[in-house]
Parts: sequence; C-alpha cells; structure tokens
Amino acid sequence: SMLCTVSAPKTSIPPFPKSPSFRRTHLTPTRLRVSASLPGSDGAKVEYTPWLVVGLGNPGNKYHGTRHNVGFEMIDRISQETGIPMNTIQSKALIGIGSIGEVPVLLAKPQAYMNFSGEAVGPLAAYYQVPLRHILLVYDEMSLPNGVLRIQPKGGHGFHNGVKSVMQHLDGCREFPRFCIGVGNPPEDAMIIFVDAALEQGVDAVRTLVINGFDSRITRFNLGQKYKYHKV
Amino acid sequence: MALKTLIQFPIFAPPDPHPRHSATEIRFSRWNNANAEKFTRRERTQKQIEDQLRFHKRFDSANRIANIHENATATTTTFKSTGTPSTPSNPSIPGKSSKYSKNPRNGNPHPAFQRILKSQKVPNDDVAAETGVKIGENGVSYLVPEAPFEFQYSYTETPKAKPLRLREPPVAPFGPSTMPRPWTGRKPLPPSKKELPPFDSFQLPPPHKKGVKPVQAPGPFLPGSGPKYVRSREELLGEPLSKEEVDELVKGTKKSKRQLNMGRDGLTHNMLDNIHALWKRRRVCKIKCKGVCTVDMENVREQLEEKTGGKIIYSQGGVVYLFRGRNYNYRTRPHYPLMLWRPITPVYPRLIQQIPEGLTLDEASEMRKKGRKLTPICKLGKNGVYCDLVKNVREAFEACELVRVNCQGMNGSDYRKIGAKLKELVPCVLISFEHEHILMWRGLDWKSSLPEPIEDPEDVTIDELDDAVNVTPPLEGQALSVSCPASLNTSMSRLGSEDLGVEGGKDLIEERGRDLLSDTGCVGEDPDALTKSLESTKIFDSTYSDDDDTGTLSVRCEQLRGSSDDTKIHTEPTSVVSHVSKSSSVCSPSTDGVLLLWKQAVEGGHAVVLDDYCLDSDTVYEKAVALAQTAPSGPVFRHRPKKVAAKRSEIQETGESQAKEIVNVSERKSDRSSSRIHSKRGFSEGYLNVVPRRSLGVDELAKLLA
Repeated sequence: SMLCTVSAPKTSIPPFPKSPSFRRTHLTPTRLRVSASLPGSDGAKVEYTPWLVVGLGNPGNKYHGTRHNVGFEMIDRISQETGIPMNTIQSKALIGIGSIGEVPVLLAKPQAYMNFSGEAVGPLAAYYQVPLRHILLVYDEMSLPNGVLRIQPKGGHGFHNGVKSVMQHLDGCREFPRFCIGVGNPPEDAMIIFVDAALEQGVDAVRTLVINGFDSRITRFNLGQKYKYHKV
Repeated sequence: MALKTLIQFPIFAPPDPHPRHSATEIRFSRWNNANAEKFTRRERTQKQIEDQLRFHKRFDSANRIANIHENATATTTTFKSTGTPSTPSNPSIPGKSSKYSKNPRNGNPHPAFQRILKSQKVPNDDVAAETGVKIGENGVSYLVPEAPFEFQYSYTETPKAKPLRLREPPVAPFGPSTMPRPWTGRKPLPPSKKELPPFDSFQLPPPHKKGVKPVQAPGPFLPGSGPKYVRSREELLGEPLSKEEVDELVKGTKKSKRQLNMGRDGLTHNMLDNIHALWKRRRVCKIKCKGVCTVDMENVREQLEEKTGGKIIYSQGGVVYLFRGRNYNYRTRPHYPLMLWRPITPVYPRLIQQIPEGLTLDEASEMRKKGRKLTPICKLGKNGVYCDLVKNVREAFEACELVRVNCQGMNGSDYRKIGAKLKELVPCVLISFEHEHILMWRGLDWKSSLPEPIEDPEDVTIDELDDAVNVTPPLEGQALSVSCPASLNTSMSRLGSEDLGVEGGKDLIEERGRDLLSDTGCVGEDPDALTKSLESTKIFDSTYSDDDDTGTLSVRCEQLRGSSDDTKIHTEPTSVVSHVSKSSSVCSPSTDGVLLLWKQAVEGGHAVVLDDYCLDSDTVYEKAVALAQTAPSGPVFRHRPKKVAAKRSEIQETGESQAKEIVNVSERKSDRSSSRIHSKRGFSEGYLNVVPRRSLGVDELAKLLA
C-alpha cells in the first residue's frame, strides 16, 4: 500500500519521455533496489572510473585572466560549483579530488607553462589510473567564435601547443575528449562577457558528460552552442 | 579573273582572226578590248562558303576583342547623369569581362537582341499536345514523340510548381531536324555518297593510327567476359563494379583534365549529349558542380543516373564521377534532339508572400524586423558548393525559429533559387530577401529532429537532473543528498536569463518537488542513514550558503533537502546530482580508491597539501616548482598496444643488456594486459636509488644505463 503510493506519483510525470533504457530503470520496482547494495549494480549507465578534468593555461598572476587561460577559469568555476577544493600540488599541477555524483573527479591545473603542460598531465593520469577516454582537456580554441563551447570525444591539436604537449606525453594518443572554449581570432575586447556566460553553461555540460558520457545530450549541447549567437 | 592584256596599237584595229563567239554572248572587258574573256561567275563550293563564313566569324570576333579598348573610348552620345564614370574601366586582359568593364547598359543594343516579351496565358492541354510544350506541375516540359522521357530545359533546376504565365509563345526549342548545318542561303546539297562507318565502341581503331583521337577501351570486363551488344539499361551497366575496379577507375579519372561543369542551370538537356560525347572516348565522365545546383546534390545524382543511364562511382562535395557501363556502345546510344536556344523561364508563383500562412501581418512584420538584426549563420560565396547548407539550416532551426543566410555578392536570381530550394528541402517558410540575405522561418508545424523532444539546451539540465537520479541509486545504505542546491540554482538562474522554456522548466521542477514531498511520509528508513543524510545536508548548507537564492527556490530546496532521505529508497526523478564533499567521501568506492591514492601520494612526498590562504596563483606556481625539484618523478602514461611497445623498446635498445630489456619488455607486456600501471609500480619507479626491479619502464632503464 505504501509502495503503491510510491509508484503513483512516478506515473504522474508523463511529459518527460525518456529514452527507453532510462524508463526501464525508472519503472523497475524499487523494492529490489532497497535490498541491492552491490557497488556498481547499475554501472551500465555510469562509468565509475575516475575522470581527470585538466584545464590548460599559464601559471602565475601575470597570465591570470588572459585569453589562453580560459582553461584555468573553467576549472576554477567547476571547483566552485561542485565543491571540490583545489588544494594539492602533485606532479607540477594544482589538483583537487572529489566527485560529481558517484563518479570520482580530479580537477587539475598544470603549473608548468603551456608548452610543457603534458609533463604535468601525463604522470598525473598514470598515477591515478585514469583511462585515456576519461581525460577531459579544457582549453581555448581559436577556431571557434567567442564564447562558443564544444565537447568532442576526440580530435586533433589544432596547433595548440598545450594540447600538442599533452598528446605527446600521453603516449602520442589523440583519443581523449576535449572541451573547447571558443576565443575568436583575432582577439576581441568584449570577449570577457561572452566567456563568463559560457563558463556557466560549461559547468553543467561537464557534469552531464561525467555522469552520462557521450550521448545525445552532448550533441544537443554542441548544437545549441554553435548557434547561440544566431538567436533573435 | 585572268584577263589577257592585249597590247593595242591605237592606229589599227586588226581584224579578229578567230571568230569564237556568237554575237549575243555577254562579254566584259576591262579596257574596252574586243577580245575579252567570257564572263564566268566563279562558283564556290559549299565547303568553301561555309569555311569562309566560319573564318569571318572568328576573324570578326578576334577583331572586336583586339579593338575593344578602341571601341570603348568611342562612346555614343547617350545621356549620362553627373557622377557617371565616363567609360567602364579597361580590363587588364583585353576582352575579359569583369564587373568593372561591362559596357553601360544603354549602349544601343542591336534590335535583334532585344527581347520583346509579351506575356501569354498558360495554354491548356490540347494546345500543348500540338505544339509539344507541356505546362504541368513539374514546370515546363517538352513532349517529343518517341522520346523515352519528357524533355526539359533543366532536369534539376526546374521548379516543381505550375507556372502562372508564359513570357513567350510556347514553342519547343528544338530546331527542325533537317538543318544541322549553318545557314548559307542555298539549297541543301545532296547527301554525300561517301559511307562513313558509324563509331562502334567495340571495334576500336588501331592504336597510334594517325588522325584518330584517343579512345578508351570498353569495359572494365570481369575475367572471362567480353563486350556485349545489348540495349537495355541494366545490361548496359553490366555487373556491379567491384571495389578494386572502382578504385582504379576513380584514380584514373582524378588525373584526367577533361571534365564537364554544371552551374546554375543544373543538368541541362544538351549536357546529356555532352556526357555521351565524353563517354565516346573515356569510360568515366567527371562532372564538377558549383553554385545553386549543389544545394540539392542528392537530386542531381539521381537525375544524372536516371537520364544518362550511367552509374555514379564517386561523388564528394560538388564532384561526381559517372561510369558509362561495361557494355556501353556509342553506336547504340540514344540520340536526343538538341535544344537550340534557352527558353525564357515562365512566370512562377511568388516565393515570398507578404503574409505567409500561419502568421498575421503583425507577426510577419515583427519577424522581418527581428530578422534585420539577426546574425546570419553563414555567408555563401558566388559559385560555391553549398552541400551542407540544408543540414546547417536544419540545425540552426533547433536553436532559433528564424534563420538568416548571407548571400551578398551573388546573382539575384541565384539566391532566390537557393531560397526556393531551401523552402522545399528544409521545410521552411521564406520571410524576406532584403539586403541580399535569405530570412527563413521554421513554420508552425516544426518538429525537432533530435532524439529527446525537448528543444532547448537549458532543458538539458532538467533532463540531466532526471537522469542523474536514475544513475545514482542508493548503495550500501549511504546517504545521498538529494538536492544539489547549487546546480539547481545555476540551472534556474540560467533558465531565468533566457527567454525560452522558462515556464516549462519551473513547472517541471515544481512537479518534482511535489512528488518528493508526497513521498516523504511513505517509506521508513534506517536511523543511521537518516543521520548521515542530515549530516551531509548540513554540510551542504554551509557550503552553499553564499549562493544566490531566489525566495521560492530556497523554499523548494529546503523541501527537497528535507526529503533527501527518500532517495535512498527509490530512484525518484526529482533527486538530483549529489555532491560529495571530502567529509562524506565514503559515498562511493571508486572515489575511495582515488582518495587512497591521493593520501599515498601525500605520504610519499609526491604531493603537498596547501592551506587555503595560499591560493594565489603565484604562490601556487612557486610551490609547484619547489615540489617538482624535490619530489620523485611520477609514472609515465603508457597507452600503446603491445606490439608497438615491443617495437619501441627494440628501437631503444642500448645494446648492452639486451637480455634485461627483453625481460622488461615481456614484463611490460604482462603489465599491459591489466591495462593499468599500478600504484605500486609508480612507487617503485620513483625511488631511483633502489635496484631496478622487473617492473621498470624501458625509458627509466635507458636513463640508468646511459
């Protein structure tokens, strides 16, 4: 009877048609869940291997807030929003460990200059046993217009020295996801406004990515970002 | 005209010794001499007349080109308002026309080139049957008896709408079949008696025969078969081409310089003849499309295959390679009458209506006003390839209902044609063409093509709130904090800042809040879990107290927080992403593992924990530098597959201790089978003063040995 009332309100939320897999987990009687206490019992949807979110930038106050340091800005924002304090220095980077949802997340800001960021990222990823597909690189991308974000499961370096160095130190592999923050080329003065707005949207996107992986939500996010200045 | 000059003695006129002519013959003499030659009008042969005509045409046009700057300066005295440049600029290449060197329009065009347009009504079907011109739903088409299909001027660019009026009398543009030669003003000659054998593709002229242009052999033939004389379409094509054959043909065609160009008229009728002419010599016809026709490449490819009977073996962007068929024979190709002129396009219904369907006048003008400020999604160049345009416009409609495309620099009729095509392909409504931009509206019944029906990117947060809950079931009796006030706040604030979808979002969150509340009293739980959850919520309260809260939001958050214990019992869509701070790190085993590693790193001297007040970037940098100098080196990220690693290690052989390295390689192979570098290994690698063990990486080994 109590459990009946539990199930009733669930069905009262029809306007969210979800993908069938979610509906399945939704409607399975939760009585099962109560007793199940195995870790990773529904690991089908979530991968609990840790994520390493690295923001590229140049250390020091001199470079604080410059165009190419948007990676650092994004990591700062993520750490604020998720409550992961960045308080450890390891392997030439400032890191913070926490989790988003069930998924452990490492935020890192390499303190090596941009061209040598790989020296910080490689050993870090190796030490914490982060698989290649869970290393998210956040960096500034000049080919995107100001404030446009894009999340890709893999890609090239786009002549970004930081990304090149990271690729080199990750054993020459390019198959790690990237979070590109658009800064236009040539640089504009009004960049800061666009980028600030974009940072907020970005934090949410990172959360979705970490929890759900690459799916249609990310595609929709990318599309929305691509056309966000073409709205009236 | 060879006339003999007779030296005359003016005194005597000698008598004519040979009277050869009769008295009535006409004789012309130059100097009134009596023995003039018989006048014969020199009769030229047909060939000579035609050659002369062609020669004069060429000479005249060359003359005109050579003298163009002379002509340009000799302007007529037509009226020119003040400010008009006196002459158009001279082109740097004489004769080459550019937008700077065109003659002014009022340059006395020849009356023969002036079109006298009298608009006519569309004839009905019985008239059409007589003249052969059919005006139907598919535009204008020409019915020629015994033709395999209806002929049109352009098979891809004819608008699929019924014309309203014609601009010229409906006459089929095919000339009479008896006049394939230029007009010379004479009777047609009797047909030549010399029998030329028809060109048969299967009987090639012998190679290196003089005067014969190169012909490519028929085929390619599968081993064991030869050319066949067939007529039907499928048999002409023969067996489907294998991949190697296709690759070979494509490679050969990429090099060839002979190609056909398709422009704003698309696949015209005369182009079919050109394709066959190309197929006479080569197996594959290369067609390059540019401009308006590339908007709908699918249709172009379809029409090409259908009308020519060839097969497309390669098509990318605007390039199409058409294969003629294994058993194609130039002799048995279909002969189509050529169109001798371009028929004037009839009047079609307007593309843009002042008040489109589904809108009032106010809404329409509102849209036009908004559209003037809208950033266009892309700029189209004059003769570009627009294959992705439809896809981009569809994507842009997901973001906003109005889309603008910049077409500046293009021909007026070109961007109107593009607009017409977009109207059909992306189903949309054209709103305006002003300032050479295309403004489109997505229409009333527009459905998003993305998997989840929610259109807005903001609603992603709502979805992820849902799904995050599904994803984070209660495990091991842990406490999941339900509400992520921070995330809710950010999502709410973002929703508030954008116009679209706000109402929907708030309603949904309210609904969920209600659901949670209703479930509060339902289920009982362990007291431990309760206390844990309350603890965690308290932590969150402190952490997020500085977040901005609207009044209603905070209330809702309280409600959600209060009912946080329920989430551990059932996966409600309302419970949100959980934040686990350090103190409640017992939440998931995976985070535990990472934290353990972290602690080990701190103990091992790899990592240093900073106090809060040291968060200035300069101090952080200095500390990082200091640590890097003192700390032991970390592990190296390895991801290459086994055999590549083996190769690399071979390359790096120092040659001294090969056995050791081989052992190491095998060890590393076994390590990689677990696909992770274990933390133990990381520690052992760190201590350089320790005797190198089996698990050392090759790089470290090389460094030690060097």
